[in-house]
Amino acid sequence: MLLTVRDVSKTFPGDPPVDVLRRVSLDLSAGESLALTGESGSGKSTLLHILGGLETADSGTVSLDGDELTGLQDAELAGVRRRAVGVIFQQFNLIPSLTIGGNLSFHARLAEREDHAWTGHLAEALGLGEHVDRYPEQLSGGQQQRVAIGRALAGRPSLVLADEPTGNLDEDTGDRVMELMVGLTREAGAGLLMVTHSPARAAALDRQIRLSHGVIDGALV
Amino acid sequence: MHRTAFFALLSHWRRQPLQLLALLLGLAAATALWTGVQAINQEARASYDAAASALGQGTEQRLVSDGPIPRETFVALRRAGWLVSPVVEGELEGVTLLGIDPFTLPPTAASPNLQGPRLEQFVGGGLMFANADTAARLPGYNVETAANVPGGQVTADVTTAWDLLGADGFSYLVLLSPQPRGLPPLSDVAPVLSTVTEESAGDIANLTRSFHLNLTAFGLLSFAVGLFIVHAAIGLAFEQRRAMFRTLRALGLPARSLVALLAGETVLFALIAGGLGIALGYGVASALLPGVAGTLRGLYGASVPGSLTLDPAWVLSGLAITFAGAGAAATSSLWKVARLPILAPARPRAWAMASVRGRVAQAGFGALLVMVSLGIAVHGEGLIAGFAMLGSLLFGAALMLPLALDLALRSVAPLAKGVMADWVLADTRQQLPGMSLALMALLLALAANIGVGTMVSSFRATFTGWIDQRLASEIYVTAQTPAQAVALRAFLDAEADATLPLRTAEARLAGAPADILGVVEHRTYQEGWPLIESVPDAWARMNAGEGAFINEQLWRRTGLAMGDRLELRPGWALPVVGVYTDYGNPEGQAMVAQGALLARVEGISPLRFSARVAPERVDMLRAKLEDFGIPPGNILDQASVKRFSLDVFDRTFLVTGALNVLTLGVAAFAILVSLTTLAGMRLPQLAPVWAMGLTRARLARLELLRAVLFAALTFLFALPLGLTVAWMLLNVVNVQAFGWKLPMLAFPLEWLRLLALAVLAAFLAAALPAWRLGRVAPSRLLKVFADER
Repeated sequence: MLLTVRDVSKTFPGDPPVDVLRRVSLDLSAGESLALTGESGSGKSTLLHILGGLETADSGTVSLDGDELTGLQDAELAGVRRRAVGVIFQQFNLIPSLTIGGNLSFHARLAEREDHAWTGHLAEALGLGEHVDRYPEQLSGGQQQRVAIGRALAGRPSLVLADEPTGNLDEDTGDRVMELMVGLTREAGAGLLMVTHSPARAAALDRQIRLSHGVIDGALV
Repeated sequence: MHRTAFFALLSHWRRQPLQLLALLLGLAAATALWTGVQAINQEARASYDAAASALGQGTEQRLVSDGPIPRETFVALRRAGWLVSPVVEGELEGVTLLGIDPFTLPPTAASPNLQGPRLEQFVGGGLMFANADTAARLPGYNVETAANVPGGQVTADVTTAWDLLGADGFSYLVLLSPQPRGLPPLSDVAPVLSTVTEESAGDIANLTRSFHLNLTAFGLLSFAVGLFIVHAAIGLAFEQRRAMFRTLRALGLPARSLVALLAGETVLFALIAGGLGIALGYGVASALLPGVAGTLRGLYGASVPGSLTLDPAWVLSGLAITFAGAGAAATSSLWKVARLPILAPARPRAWAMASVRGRVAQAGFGALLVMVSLGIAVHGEGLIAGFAMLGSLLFGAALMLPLALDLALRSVAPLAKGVMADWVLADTRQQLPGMSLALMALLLALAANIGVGTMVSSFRATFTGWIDQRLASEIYVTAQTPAQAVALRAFLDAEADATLPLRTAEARLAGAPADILGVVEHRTYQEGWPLIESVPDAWARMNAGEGAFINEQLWRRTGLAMGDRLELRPGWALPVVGVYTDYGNPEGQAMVAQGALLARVEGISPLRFSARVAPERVDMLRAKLEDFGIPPGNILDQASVKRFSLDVFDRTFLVTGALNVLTLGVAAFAILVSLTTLAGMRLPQLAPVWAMGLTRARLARLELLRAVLFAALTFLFALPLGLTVAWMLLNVVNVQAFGWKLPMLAFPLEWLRLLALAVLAAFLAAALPAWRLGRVAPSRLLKVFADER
C-alpha cells in the first residue's frame, strides 16, 4: 500500500476549538487515483496538507511508502516533501523568477532526481516544449497549471497531491489539464489524491470519498 | 463622511504597526539629523556674533601702528577729543588675553558686570573674567566666571594685561562711533597711526563658512537617506490600500476628498514625527557639539561653547523640513491616487514589481545627473558648485544602482551551480524592486563613508608626514620678557646645536588677515618646508631677502604666479619665489628672510625661539632651561607639540566620523524596514518552495544570505563611487573650502572594515525578518494557497 491513513484527527485552536478532522482513515495504492470531495470547511485541504507532510496531525498515523510521517521533525518532513510528494495548487504557485524550464525541473533538482529525458518528455506531453525559456507571467492560466503538473511529476514522486487543480480554469482547459494530470500520473506510476468540488472531475478518477464535518461519509465508488 | 473615511484610512496603520513605526522613525531620524546639524550651526554662529560684540561692534574701526601704540599717543588723542578705547591683545596659556580700559569702552560692548568693588578689583587687583570653559583652563590666575565673555578669551584691565604679557603700549585703539564733530585731523594728532576696518567676527565667520556648509551638506545627505525610508513606507502603504481606495471611491467618496484626507494623514504623521525628530535632533546636537567645538577650535581657532541652547528658529526650521520631506515622499503616491480609476484592479505587489522599463528610465535619469556632475566638475567654480557636483554624482549613481545590480546578478547567473544557487539568484533579482530604495540609501551612506573616510585618512597621513618634517626643531621656548629673550639667545647659542629665533608679524596680504614669518638661514627650513612650486634658487633668493615664499592657501586664493610681486606692507613688496604646504592653517602666510622682516616691521615680539639639539639631550636642555628661569609652560618639546597637533587633528574630524556612523545607521534601518515590510509579501513566493521540501530554517538562512549578498554587491558599487567622491573632496571641495590640495591615498583595510560593517548591518537588519520566517507557523504558509482561492 502506498498510503495508509489511520484515525487521523486535527483540531484548530479557537473559541470554541474547531474539530477539522475526526478519526479519518483511508488507503491508496500505487498508480491509483482518489478524489476527495466535500463542502467548504469539511477538512479536505487540511487532510491533503497532512498527507503531504505540510501539516501534522494531532493524533492518528500516516504511512507513506512504508515510512511513518507521524512524529517526524520539520527537517524530516521537508525531506519527505522533496522526495516522495508532488503538490499541485489551484493557483499554480510557480516561481515567478525562474523560467518555465527552471520551474519544471525545480522540484526534481531539489530532490536530486533530475532526469532530463523524463522532464523533456513531460514538457512535450504538456505542450510546453516551446515555452521553456519564457517566464510564468508570459503564459496563460492553463499553461501555468500544466507547468505545475510537470513540476510535481518531474521528480517522480510516489504520491501526487492536487488541491482543486482546475478550480481556476475554464471548462475546456480544465478538461485538458485533468486528462494530462491523470494520464501522466498513471504513466509515472504515482498515486494521485485530488481535492475537488466538481462531481464530474471526481468521477474521472478511480475512486472518490466524501468528507463531511471532518468525517468520511463513505466511499462513493 | 470625511470623518468615517479618515478613520477607515487610519485603520490600516492599526493593522500594520511596524509600517507605522518605520514611517514615523524614518521621518524622525531624517528630521533629527537635519535639525541637529542646524542647531550646531546656529550655536556656532551665535558664538561668533557674541565674539563680535565683545567690543561692541561687529565691524570695528581701529587705529593701528607698525608696532605697539605708546600710551602718550592714546592720551594725546583723548585730549584732542577723539573717542578711542585702548586694547592690549596677547596670548596667555593658549587663551586670548584681551586687555581693555573699562572707562573708555564703547557702551555697547559685552563687558563683564563691573560695579562698585568689582571695578576696583578689575582695575587695580588683577581680576579677570572668562566663561566657565575658559576659566577652567587658567588655574592659578585670578579669573572669575562671566557668561558674556566669548569662549577662548579672558578679559583683563590693560594694566593687568601688560603685567602678564610683559608688554608695554597698546595693540590697537578702538575708534568709537559716532565721533564728535570738528576734531583735529588724525594726521596732526597721531601721524603714525592709520585707520583699518577690522571685521573680527566676519573673518571667523568667513573662515568657518566652508566648515558649516560641509556640515549642512552632510545633514542634507542624512536627511535624504532618511527620506528613502519614508518614501518606501508611504509608497507601500498606498499600494496596500489600493483596494480600500477603490472601495471608498465606489461608495461615493470624491477623488479630491480622498487625496485631501491622505494629505491630512501625511500632515498628522509629519507633526508627530517632526516633534520626535526635533527632540532627537536636540540630543544629537548636544552629543556632537563638544566634538564640533573641538573641530572649530582646532581648525580655525574659533571658540564655541560645548553646550546647546534651545532656539525656536531651528525648532521651526526642523518642523518645516519635516513637512517638506513628508510632502516630497508622499507626492508621487498622492498623484497616483488622484488619477486612480475606480475600477482599477488592486495589485498589491505592483509597488514591489516596478517594470524593467521604469528601472531603465530611472537609470537614464541617474546617468544624466552623473553627466551634470561631470559638467560642474569641468565648468563649475566655488564651494556651492563643489557640493552640487558631489550631490548630483551621489544621487545619479544611486538612481542607477537598481539597474546595475540587476545586470550584475544577471551576469553571474550562468556561473551558478545547483538548483539552490539558481533559485537564490533568480529570487534575489525578483526582490530588487522592493529593496532598491533601501539599497540606494545604503549606497549613499557607504559612498559618503568611503569618500569622507579616504579624504580624512589621506589628510591624516599627509599631515603626519608633513608635521614630522615641519616640526624639525627639538625644543620650542618662549621668553617672558625682551630682556630675558636676549639672555636666552646667548644661553641657547651655548647649549644647543643651533638656535632659530621665531619672528612673526601680523599683516594683511591680498586683502585678508595673514602672518609673515621671518626665518633665519638654516638647513632645518630647507629640509622641513618642501616647496610645491618654486623658481630656481628659491631658497637662496628668499634667504637673501630678494623673494618671499607663500603658503598654498594664499597661492590658490590669489592665483599669484612665480615672480609676481606680493605687497607685504605698504611700500614693501617682494616677488613670490616659492609655495609651501601649510595644512591646518586657515589663513594666508608668507615667509621672508628674518633680517628683511625686522628691517621693515617694528615691534615684532622677540620672545620665541626654537633650538636644534640631539634627541638624547632634549630632557637635559629642558631642565637647564627651567634652571635658567623659563617657566615649564613656556618650554615645548617636539613630541608634545606633535601630540597636541595630532590631537587637534583627530578632534577636528570627530564630528565627521560621528555623522558617518549615524548615516550608516539610518541606511541599516532602511534595510530593516524594507525587509520587514516585504516579509509579508514574500510568503506567497516562499510558500511553494517550502511546500516542495525546503525547511523554514533553511529559507530563513537564505533570506539572511540574500541580505548579505545585497549589501556586499552594493558595497562593490559604492567603492568606486566613494573613491570618486574622495577625489572630488580632495581636489575640488577642499581646495575651495580650506585652500589646500592633498594627495589621495588608498586604505584597503578601511574598505574591508566598512565592507564588514555593511555586511553586519545588513545581517542585523535581516535577522529579525529571517528569525520570524524561521518560526512562521506552517498554517500561515498554507494560508497562502488558501488565500488565493
